[in-house]
Amino acid sequence: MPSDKELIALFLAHQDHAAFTLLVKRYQAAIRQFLRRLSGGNHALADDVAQETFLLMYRKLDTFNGMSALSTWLHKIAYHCYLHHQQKNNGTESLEYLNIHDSVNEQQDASADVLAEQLMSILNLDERVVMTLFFSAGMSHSEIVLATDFPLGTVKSHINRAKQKLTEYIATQDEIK
Amino acid sequence: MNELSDNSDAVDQSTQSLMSDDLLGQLLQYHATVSDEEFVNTTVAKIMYQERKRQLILVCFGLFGVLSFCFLIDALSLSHAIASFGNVLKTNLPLIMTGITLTLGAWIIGNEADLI
Repeated sequence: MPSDKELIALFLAHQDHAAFTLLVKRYQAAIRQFLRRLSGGNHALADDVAQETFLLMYRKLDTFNGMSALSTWLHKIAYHCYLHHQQKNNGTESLEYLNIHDSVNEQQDASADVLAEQLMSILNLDERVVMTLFFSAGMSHSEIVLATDFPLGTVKSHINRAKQKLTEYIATQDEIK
Repeated sequence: MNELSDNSDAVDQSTQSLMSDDLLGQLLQYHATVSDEEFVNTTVAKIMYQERKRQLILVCFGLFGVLSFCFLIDALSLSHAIASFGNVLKTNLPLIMTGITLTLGAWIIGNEADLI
């Protein structure tokens, strides 16, 4: 299986669309799931932003310097695309989805991913980004710093605060049951 | 940066009483696999379409620019530039002719002198 570097080189040298398609195939799941978590489970929005992310990847791949993993670079683009989309819509879509968590109890049969997406919606955007990158994408603190441009201390305090919120929320849900 | 690191170590210690990382990891991990075929095909097709559209727009703008430039030169030379250049020629024709004659004369005399 060709490495990312080989595929990037092929694409840049010959505009090899097959190489580019392979890169999209390789990273689409991670990027879409990341965006689904950010958008609080809005799959259509996540897929739209993911397409935008890969379009930017197509146009800017020649600026990728290989200092970080391609995955980290793509997560960074996806995060910025999502922020841009939110600014364009004044955050109305995300607010809409923030209300979903009220129905967690009613959806006992919801899949684990839907539950995770709903749990994410009780966090603010910065906390969601950091938590998803850390727990879902499996990035290290330093990779999160590269992907988000947050300082290391901010990354750690976001994780701490988000954990606190989730612990409290789950405890409240247990009490209600 | 050091201050931040120190602070972040304190943050690490304060998380001990919270939900464990393993539990959160299990809860928040990506569970289902996301189907790829349709998304990949749509995305790649959309990107190619966007790129072709962008290139077409660039070419159209280029052609439009060249055409505009041609029309601009044409319009300028017809209306103003050629007319004023003609006027200059007409009014200063004796002067220009004298200048040319003197220059040619000097050049010929210079060449003759060289020959001698």
